[in-house]
Parts: sequence; C-alpha cells; structure tokens
Amino acid sequence: MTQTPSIQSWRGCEDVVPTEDGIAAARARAVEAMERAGLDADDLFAIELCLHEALVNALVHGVRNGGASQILLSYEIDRRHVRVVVDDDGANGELPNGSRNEFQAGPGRGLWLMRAFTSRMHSEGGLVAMELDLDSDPVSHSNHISKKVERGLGVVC
Amino acid sequence: MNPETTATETAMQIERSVLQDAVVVRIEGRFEFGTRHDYKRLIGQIVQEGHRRLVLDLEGVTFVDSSALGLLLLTDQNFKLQKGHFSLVNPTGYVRQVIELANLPRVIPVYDSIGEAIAGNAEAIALRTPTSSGVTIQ
Repeated sequence: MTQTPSIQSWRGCEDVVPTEDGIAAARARAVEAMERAGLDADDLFAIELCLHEALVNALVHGVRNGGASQILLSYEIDRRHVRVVVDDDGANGELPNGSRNEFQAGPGRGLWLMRAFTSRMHSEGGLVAMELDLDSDPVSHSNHISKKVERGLGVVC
Repeated sequence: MNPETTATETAMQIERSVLQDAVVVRIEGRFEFGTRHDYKRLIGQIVQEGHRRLVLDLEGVTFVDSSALGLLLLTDQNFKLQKGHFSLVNPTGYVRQVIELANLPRVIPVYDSIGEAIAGNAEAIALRTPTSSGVTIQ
C-alpha cells in the first residue's frame, strides 16, 4: 500500500507585475511553492497550466484590453485542495464561458483548459477562482489527466 | 546547456531543417503565450516561402498552453488553405495529454517519428484527397 504523501499547508499572495515577464515570474514562484508543499507531478502540471492561463487572461483581457493596472494572485494549499484566485481591476467585458464551441472558435480556449484541469472553476469579470482536489487515491482521482483523456473531453470535433 | 533555471523555464528553442521536400521544425522547451512570437515568425516565413509540407517535431516540448493549441490549429488552417499538409511528431508526457484532451489529432495528424510524418505527408499530397472545404489538393 502506498502511503498518502504529506502536503504542507501554505498560503501565498502577490501583486503581480502586469507584464509578460511579470506573470511568468509570479507563476514560477507559485509553482515552486506548491512543489515545496509536496504536490505530485500530475497536480503540479494541472495547477501550473491553469495558473498560467488565468494570468495570461488577466494580462490580455484585464490589462491590455480592459485598462487594468493591477493583477492580484492568491493561492492556498492544504492537505485536500489547492485554491487559486487571480483577479484584475480592469473593465473586463463578458468573458467567454470556456465551452467546446468557443474553444474551436478561438476565444475561451484558456478557460476551457482551466475547466478541464481543475475540479471547480468560476470566472466573473476579471476574477478567476479555481480549486483542485488533491486525491491520493488513483482510482478516484478525478483530476488525473489521463482519466480525462480517456473520458474524451476533447473540444475539437 | 543553460544552467540558469529561470531563463530556461520560459525559453523555447526553435530550429528548421529540410528533409526531402518537407520543412521540419523542431521545438524544445515551453511552447506557450510567452514564446509565441518565435513560432509565429518562423512559420510565417515558411508559409511565405511557399512550402507546402510542414512537420512539427514536438518531442522536446515540455509545456503547451491554449495559445500554442490555437497556433497549431491556425497553422493547420494555413497549410490546408495552401493545399499543403501539416503534421505533428511525437508529443510526449503532459504535452501529448493536453493535445489529446483537446482532440487535436482529429484535425492534425500526429506521428511517432519524423520519417512516418514525411511518408504520411507525401501520401496525403499524392492521394490528392479533397479537403474538408471541397478543394482538391493539386
């Protein structure tokens, strides 16, 4: 029997420099903290991808198109979950909903990936909140990417 | 080898070569929003030069995001419009999983080796298969 890996609780927040280099650096710092906290490779990949997509959305739609001056990133890790919130103060228009159709059309691909790789995701205006369940049981691990591939969540028809 | 972790984390290396009559583009590192310009520049150049067969070797890619998926779909559309052929080679690990999760292989052929991709490209061109828009590849 494999033992449940120990996850150390951790909280972090930062005022992200609203540039391409700024979001890359913030993402790298957050992922490093999550790696130190003990997330496994699958969860790390999922959360890095989703965090990256949320920060890119904030930069493109919030800062560049919505006049935002600030991107706030906060995250929280405990034994069972990782929660990430990315928020900008821009005048964001109606965000795409991340549906299959929108993935094929173009806008909304990032939101679609966030939906696919997290357990729960909510977006409203310039705010994206995501939660990833950390489930050490591989049978019930709903976030395992290969399980999602098997379930055929694909968006290109 | 670049020993600086921070630099390599956001870096992508991209190079092109010609094998038979196909252009082979090999990408290493992160293929994402932050590195999209290098890809767009090189592919734009290849399209402008009039090449009709492009093989994209993804074996060395460690991370892809929605920007990269969008660029792959755009590249495929560009080559189809020019009656050419575009294929992917050997995405591995999480990159393969993201590509498969998005069902890209339904649109863009994915091969296990460059040799297979070139043979597949040649076959597709030789067959002069009607494209989805009904245009015959010449």
